[in-house]
Amino acid sequence: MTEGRREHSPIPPTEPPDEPRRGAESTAEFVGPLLVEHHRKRDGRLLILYRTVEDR
Amino acid sequence: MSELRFNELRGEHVDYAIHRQERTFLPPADHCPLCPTRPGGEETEIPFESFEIAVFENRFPAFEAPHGAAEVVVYTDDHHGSFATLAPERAHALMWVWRQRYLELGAREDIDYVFIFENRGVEVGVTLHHPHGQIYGLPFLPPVPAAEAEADERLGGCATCELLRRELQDGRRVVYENPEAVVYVPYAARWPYEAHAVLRAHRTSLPACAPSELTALADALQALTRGYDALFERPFPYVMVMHQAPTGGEGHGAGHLHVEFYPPLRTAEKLKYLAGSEQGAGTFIVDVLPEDSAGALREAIARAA
Repeated sequence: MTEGRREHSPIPPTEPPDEPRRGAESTAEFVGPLLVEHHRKRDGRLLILYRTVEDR
Repeated sequence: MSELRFNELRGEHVDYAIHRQERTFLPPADHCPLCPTRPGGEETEIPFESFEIAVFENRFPAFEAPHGAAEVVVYTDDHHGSFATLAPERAHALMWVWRQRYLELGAREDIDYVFIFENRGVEVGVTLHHPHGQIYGLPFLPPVPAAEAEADERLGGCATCELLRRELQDGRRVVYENPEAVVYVPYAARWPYEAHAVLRAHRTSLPACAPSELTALADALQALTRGYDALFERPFPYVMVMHQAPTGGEGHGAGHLHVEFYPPLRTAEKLKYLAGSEQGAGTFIVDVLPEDSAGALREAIARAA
């Protein structure tokens, strides 16, 4: 497999997002066995939470 | 903002991040910024009551957009413990986190090298005890991975593959093996208990690995760090670094994923310091033969298993 900024999609494998747990601007996706939730902190910094999902 | 200057005499970059002087320094456990936010308590870096693994942009970044990135990776919401004491499933999950960050940061135009690392223990400058690591998205290829690329040229192929072949053939410095990963004290280790964890197959980076290889590498890292703690029966300080293929610029896409550990202890009580010879001449003087430290480490890993 070749890595590189222009040779792959940013975060594969991706599936339709689940419902985010918190925050109107949050987004979620699956990466391997993890549900990945993207948030923004009050000061604008990125915060990502990873949660194990059973039976993926 | 940080300022990057090029040191001509050394041929390397130096990053000036003067705002980091103000960063949180060894706070008491009840003021840990990496703990979850307790109901009614002050908000920490993670405004949730619990979490598994969290990544956030460093409040005191050494690098930041549009000239790189600095992120904190929090391994658990439990303040106590370490990478070694994580449940195996959490260590496996962490590999997927690192993989995802490598892809996302590596896709950025301003980042040429995704550098994943962990400093453990006050002996190596840790300022927060909560189990965590860091990621720098560097806007250049740093000198150590660049030297590894030069080793590839010198050895006429992948140096990491060749060195692994030699270590397995010799066998005296191998301290741990599983079907897909090997840990050894290098033939010319610079630190008394330096160790490298390497995948048997040539893989340039975490995204190039099969899921079973991610699991195997996590198992190898945990076996080693648990062995480190068992070696002197004390929390064992170390610097852990992950080397992967550059994501842009020089050497883009080439390399062999592996993890290196640089522990500063030479005995249970004594530190190895980088002094005149190491700093001024670039020549390490080591008090322990790699074959001997590997023997002790192999026994410690077996005890900790």
